Amino acid sequence: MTINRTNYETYFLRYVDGDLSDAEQLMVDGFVAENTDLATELESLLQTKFVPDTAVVFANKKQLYKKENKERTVLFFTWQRIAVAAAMIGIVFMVGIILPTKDSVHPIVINSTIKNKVADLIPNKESKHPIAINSIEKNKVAELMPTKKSILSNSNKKQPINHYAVQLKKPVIQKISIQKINTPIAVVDDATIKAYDSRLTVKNMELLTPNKALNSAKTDAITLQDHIEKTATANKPQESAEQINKAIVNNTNESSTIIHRAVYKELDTETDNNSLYVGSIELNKDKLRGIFRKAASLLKRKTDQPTDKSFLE
Amino acid sequence: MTEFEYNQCVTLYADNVFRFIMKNIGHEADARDIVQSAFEKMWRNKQHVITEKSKSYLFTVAYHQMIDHIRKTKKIKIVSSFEQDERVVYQTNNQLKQTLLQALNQLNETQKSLVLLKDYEGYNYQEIGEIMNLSESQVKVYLHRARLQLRNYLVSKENIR
Repeated sequence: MTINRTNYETYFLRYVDGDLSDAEQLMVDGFVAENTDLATELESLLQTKFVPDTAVVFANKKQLYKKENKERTVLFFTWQRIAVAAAMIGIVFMVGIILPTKDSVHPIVINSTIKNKVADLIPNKESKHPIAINSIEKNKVAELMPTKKSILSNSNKKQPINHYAVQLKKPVIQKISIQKINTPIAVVDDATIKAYDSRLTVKNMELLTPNKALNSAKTDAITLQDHIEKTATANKPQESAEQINKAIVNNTNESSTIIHRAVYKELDTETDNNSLYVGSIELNKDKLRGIFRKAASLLKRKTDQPTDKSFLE
Repeated sequence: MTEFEYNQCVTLYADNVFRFIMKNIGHEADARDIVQSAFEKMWRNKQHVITEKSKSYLFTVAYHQMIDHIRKTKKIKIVSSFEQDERVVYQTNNQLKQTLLQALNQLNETQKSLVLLKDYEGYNYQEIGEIMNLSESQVKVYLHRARLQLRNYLVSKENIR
């Protein structure tokens, strides 16, 4: 839209307000230059424009500034409450620790390494886990030990644990378990073995007489003996032969393998014996030892330091 | 808006708002009261005020409070301004500034605010419309009328002389 003598006033007013673009301003300037009589009108409109009087200011602006003081007091009270609640919880916790309970051990209890569990060497029919023995029962176990010859003959090679091999470490109290009834017992004699399977090459087998076994055992030995007798009658020779083979594991190559009653020896590696009770708190002995050793080493280093310095000097 | 931003607005815009109100009502004490109440209102609502629009917020609040103040007091300044005009008639046109202020007093509240917001603060038509609750076209029309009235007043003074 171009400026003309009918719409110039609108353009002039917008010119005064600064609402025109650069191109429009140039257009108005050109129009005014062509129509000089309208120049005074534009000039009079420009005189109506006000200029800010910077001398007029708001004195004492401090009255207008603000600070957020009230909100801080609210936060203070909430923190106070939190601190009181935390202190109460801490007191209750400490009282619960310090006061001895009924179940707590006084003063310091050290668990003995000797367990008084089942004294019987042989478990019941229903029991499936090995039986722990004490030192007394250890002697009874020794009775079940094979002879030296048998041990030596077997110790030449590294053989896996035979179900029927007795393994005892002298200083360690071991558990003894007797195999299940399902597995066959050692062969009674050579003749009986030969009668069932030619694969059997076991010789010089010692018979664990039922008497020896049953002195410290229960009825399971008797049942084992019965089982052997039953198998010996050869109603099912193949099955008993297989059972015997299963019993004599990894010993077919040995000519002097001795089959004994199966026992399992369990080493006492339980970590429960290392627990230390202080009040109601359970501590680990091994960890304590480690901490004390570290402390001792640190102290040692400190005492050794002056000697090192003297060396450097 | 934080406390720091509010105090920054005080530093930047307190003089502008005061000048605007002062030119409108012509009374320094009343203008200070209006400015203080405008800043007080912004402080109370600082959580809802956007910092970038704090200036227009202040002018909006101050303008409405000024209108309320004018309606309460209902001061008739036109007569007094006429008396001043008679004195001005015998003065030279070199005192254009004073003549212009006198011409400003001839305008109504709306026209006066339009002219001052446009010339003092440099707001565009849309921003002036937001402050004064007018449409853009209304602002343009009212402002043009005010300018013509001012021009006619100046011309008439010159003609009388």
